[in-house]
Amino acid sequence: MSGTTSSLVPAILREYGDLTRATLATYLPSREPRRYLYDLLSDYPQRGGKMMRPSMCIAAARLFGAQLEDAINTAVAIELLHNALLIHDDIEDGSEKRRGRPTLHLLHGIPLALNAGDTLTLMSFRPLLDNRVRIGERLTLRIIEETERMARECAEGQAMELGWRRYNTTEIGDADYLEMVLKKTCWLSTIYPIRVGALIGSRDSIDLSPLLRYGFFLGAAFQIQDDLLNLVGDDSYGKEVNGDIWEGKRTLMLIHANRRSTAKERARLSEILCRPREGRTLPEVRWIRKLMDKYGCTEYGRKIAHGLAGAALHEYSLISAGLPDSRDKTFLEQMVTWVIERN
Amino acid sequence: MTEQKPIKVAVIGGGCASISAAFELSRPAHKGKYQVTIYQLGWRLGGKGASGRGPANRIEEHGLHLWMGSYENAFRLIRECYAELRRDRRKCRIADWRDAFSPAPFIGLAERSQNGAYWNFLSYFPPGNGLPGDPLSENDPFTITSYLARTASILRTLLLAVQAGRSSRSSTKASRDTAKARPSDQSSSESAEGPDEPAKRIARLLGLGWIATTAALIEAVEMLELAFAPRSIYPIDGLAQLLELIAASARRQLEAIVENDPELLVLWQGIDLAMASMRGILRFGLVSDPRGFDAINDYDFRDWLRMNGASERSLESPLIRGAYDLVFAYEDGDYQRPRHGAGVALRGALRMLFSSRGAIFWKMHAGMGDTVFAPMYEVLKQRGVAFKFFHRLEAVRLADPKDLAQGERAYVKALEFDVQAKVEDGKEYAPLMDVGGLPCWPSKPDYSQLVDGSTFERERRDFESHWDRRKTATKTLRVIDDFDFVVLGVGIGAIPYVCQDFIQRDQRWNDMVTHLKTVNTQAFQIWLRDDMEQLGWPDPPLALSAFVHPFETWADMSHLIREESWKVNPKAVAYFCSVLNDPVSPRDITASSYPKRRRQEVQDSAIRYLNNDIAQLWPKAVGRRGKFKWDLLMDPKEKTPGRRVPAGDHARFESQHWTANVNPSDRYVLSLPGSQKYRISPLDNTYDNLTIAGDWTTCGLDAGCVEAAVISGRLAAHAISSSPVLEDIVAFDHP
Amino acid sequence: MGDRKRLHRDDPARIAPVRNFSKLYSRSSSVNGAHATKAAQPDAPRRTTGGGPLAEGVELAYNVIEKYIAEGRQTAEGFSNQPYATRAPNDNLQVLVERVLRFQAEMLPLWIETLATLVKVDPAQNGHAPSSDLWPRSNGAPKAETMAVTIEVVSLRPVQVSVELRPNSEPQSLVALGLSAVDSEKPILKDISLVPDEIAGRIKLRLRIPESQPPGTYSGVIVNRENGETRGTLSVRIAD
Repeated sequence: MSGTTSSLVPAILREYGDLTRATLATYLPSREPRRYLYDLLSDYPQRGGKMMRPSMCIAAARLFGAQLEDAINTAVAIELLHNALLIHDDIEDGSEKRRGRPTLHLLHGIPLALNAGDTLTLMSFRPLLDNRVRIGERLTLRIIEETERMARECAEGQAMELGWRRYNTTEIGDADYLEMVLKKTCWLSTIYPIRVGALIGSRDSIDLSPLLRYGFFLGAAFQIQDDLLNLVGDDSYGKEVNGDIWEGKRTLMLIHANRRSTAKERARLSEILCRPREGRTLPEVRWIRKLMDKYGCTEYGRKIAHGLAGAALHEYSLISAGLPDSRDKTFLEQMVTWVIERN
Repeated sequence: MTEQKPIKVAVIGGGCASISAAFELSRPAHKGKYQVTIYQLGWRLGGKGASGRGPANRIEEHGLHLWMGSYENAFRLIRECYAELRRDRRKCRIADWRDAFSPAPFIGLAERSQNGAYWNFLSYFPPGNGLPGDPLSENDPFTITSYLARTASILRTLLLAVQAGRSSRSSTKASRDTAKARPSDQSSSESAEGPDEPAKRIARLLGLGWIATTAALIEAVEMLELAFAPRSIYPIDGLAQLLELIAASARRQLEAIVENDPELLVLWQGIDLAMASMRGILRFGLVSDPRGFDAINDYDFRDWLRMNGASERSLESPLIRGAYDLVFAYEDGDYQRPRHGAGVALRGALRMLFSSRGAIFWKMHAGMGDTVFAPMYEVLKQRGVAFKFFHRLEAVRLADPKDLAQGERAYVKALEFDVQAKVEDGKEYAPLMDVGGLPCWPSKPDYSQLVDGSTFERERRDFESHWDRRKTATKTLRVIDDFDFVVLGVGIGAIPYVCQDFIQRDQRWNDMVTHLKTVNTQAFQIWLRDDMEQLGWPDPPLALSAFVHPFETWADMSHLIREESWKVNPKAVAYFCSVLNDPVSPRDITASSYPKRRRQEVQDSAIRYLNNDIAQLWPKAVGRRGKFKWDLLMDPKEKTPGRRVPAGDHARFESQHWTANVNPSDRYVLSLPGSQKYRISPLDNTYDNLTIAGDWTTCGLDAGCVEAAVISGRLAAHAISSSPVLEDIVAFDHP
Repeated sequence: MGDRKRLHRDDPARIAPVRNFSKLYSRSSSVNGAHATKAAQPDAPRRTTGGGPLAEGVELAYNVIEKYIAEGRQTAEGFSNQPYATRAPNDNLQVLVERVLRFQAEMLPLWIETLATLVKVDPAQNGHAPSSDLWPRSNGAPKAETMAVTIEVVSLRPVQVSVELRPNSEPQSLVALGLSAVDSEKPILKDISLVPDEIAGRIKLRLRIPESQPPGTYSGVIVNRENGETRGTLSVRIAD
């Protein structure tokens, strides 16, 4: 894999991101009640963000022959769903910062934030229904079916992850981890955007399984990189460093540390993770971090992420073999490198 | 009780649509139930199809008219017309429809093959048995799956041709390519036993991932054919993938090979387009879409083919260029904006290629006015239809909405006409002239029959020009008193001028005139001293399209010479036509000098064309300096025929015939993407004493052509009289 | 004698050409895409670059995903939208959106109402010829794969009933949700019940059509009331 960061990926993310943002704004009403609802809805979307998901959707659609206008509504829906999930995630994880600013529930309290999250979810249907006009009933229906599947997978993955925390499961293998990531993260972040994009572009005439593989490998690499950044991120990192450890999130690095630890270390780890977030202290979090360094967990995570990226590139080459060259084709290929090299 | 009075039907316009409606309503089977009167401006019927006779009785047309072997309705009516007319062959050379029409021998698309000849792509599409207008057999030929099966069959034929072409050219490159074939070659076909066999074979092919040889490719296409057969059980989804596989493999195998061979290249382009079309039909679910081909009418044909994998080369091939040229599919007449609804295009192409009978193209043996409208006029007169020439429609007036009773629909209250001229002694105008026993329309009215006729002749009144509004009187026809029903058969170009009541009150009419766009056309005809071979064209006579713009369509009409009355016969006649752009500034159109200016433009264009471009077709028609040999042109009025005038005289062109068809009702209707939904049907009953007719209505074909106009006329007749039954209108029900 | 009356054209039986001649229809899960009919793809070759965690990780990941995909196929087939394949999209959107909502943790009643109005489909946008479309015929869905249903109708007017029920539906637990017409003004047909028939394995469908029910086509789903799973579709067409 080349080490050079391309300029194409940020350029396209910006281009498609801006277009999605502009259309998204038209779906968020600015009427009363603002303080309690509508301002909250626009908060997270306005904070920026990479717009990776909608961009992948649009790129995949164009790659398979659609026009940008055919995919823009779906891209908007994806971004709305993503933001809705962020709101819920932040509440569940007890996070304090999002994109450099306080999380929504810290600003407005949990009940209002929850409400806003639910509303955003429901509002994401509007653009999906508007698809009828542009791409026809059949495809609209198919996209909604995919959305349903994605929502289901997401909920199941979420349940898995939360369940581990709730029941303090620490004996988790890498395969379990990957399965959880597949459902919880990959479906919304990569698999779904690419699949519906390809669905739109090919008018539902192709087998979507290869895209599932590509999306999974890409999304998993993305997630692992995300978790790595949480450990080693610098000032530009928008969330708190080591925040995952504070939350007790079962990252690949954490379960690797657990697997490699001595019996004594494992017991202490389990005991710390058993407590709720408020019950953990800074020295304990630092200890866990040192444990990870001791067993080379970050290095491990990095290697796995690279391997997955390689697999993603391979799958992508199978998908894109017969397709004409284009910016979108290159973009989706370079995304793989981008997800593991970004910071 | 009093006897039922005949129902009065006013048919406005005398083109194909109106004439067809009148022909249906006046059928003897109706026993005189309908009293039809046709109102026509000027002196001749025909509309865009009108033709006249000029000096030396030469035929002077608006442009080139070719009929297609798929014009089932048009042929049916004209055959019935001739059968009813029963002309005496001893007196008239064109007595039977087969004297009027014959298969056009050769239609080329401007692409030369290796030996320099123009190459007949259409020879790969054998027309069906029988003749157009024959009764259709029971097996329903008009399903999309049957078109798919036929396309697959043609695909196979084309692949075989490529295979044959390659081996005959024995290019080393070809043998190198086949040598590169993967070891996992598809072996030669096993015989298909049982219903599962095709499915298994297809599944196996899909599993291989690619098809290595042309032979295997051909076999794969055979599988497609089988799969599209009427009683096949193979689900459509799998076929889409098989097609993908075939397309990708064919491209890989053949694209490089056909590069340097123009004939193979066009074959390959045909294959490419066929595959793209099939792929599109499957991808867009047209087989099961209730709208059939209409489902893709929002796309431009080229764009749609591109979406389905056709290469840019194929999209610029003469096949596609010709398709756009033949229907003038250039928005505002601008060659930079070719646009044609994909559904209309695909339907038209499939019908032309697969449901033509006798021949794909048919030519006429005299002007269209002489072969079609004159016999129609005679038959209609025999049946008691009345004709009012020199009546130009000015307005169709609707009843005031306030006057409508509860639940009553809007209706036409009055028709306002300008009477351009009256006939001496109140007689009826006799429009036809005799040319060697054949009744024909003249290029100018018979002034001797008209009151003030000599004044009109001196003034050079142009009764057919939109800009010459001079009139003798006005006449208003009123509902109940003068008419019960109206068939409005004027061209769409005229609608904004005569239907303001509709446009202002009815959003649909407003949308229709906004979105249904038209173009001008231009044409010229020349009569030549030398025959085609002497001019450097060695091949049989033909019509050619996709040539150089403008005047990209050329037809050799030398067969018409014997119909004309020259003192010394020309050896060749050539017709050229094309689209004509709209002026940049719309205000120019209102100026009274506009038509003259455009005519001048066409003349200049034609002269330029003959000087610069004709050499490519007729190498010997140009002199040493490459300019056209003007003395080749024959002037019907020259005093001493046969004596050559010194060359280089542009003024020679003055004696030829050319036209800028800029009258609003002469404008040709386009099928732009997204425009089809704005058409209105003749069956529409919003105004319950009016029906519209013309190729601009929703008539099934929804494209500008004779067949569409005839179908619409028959639909209009159905709207009024419930006859013919819709199922009788061939291919109205059609995907 | 006397005044001639103004003549009116009769309304023609139909205006639009018939364009749908589809004689081939997919019997396998066509709407859900091609994976059911595509031949199994040969295993994708894996890239193994050196040994160590990278290679193992990749292999592990492939195992996870292949297992997932294989399971997914089975679920998708069990989940099969066979009834949907032949149905007009209107109803699908409604039912489907409802199903998605069921997966959400919290549902706000107010928003469901809003969504219901969002989902109402404008028939003019459909491009189908109005009401000359009958309820989709069972268009090739193999007859053997639907359950046998006895239909009892009480109605003063001619009525056409079309029902499709997936095999192995539990006769005890079936219920038909109210049938609605596209035109929301028309009342919902509610007097419908599904009970086990005397003959084992068959189901009896009882319908009562009120006199005041406006003519038209009413359609809806049949669900298993225990788990909410959709088991079939029902449509009733009331003549004028």
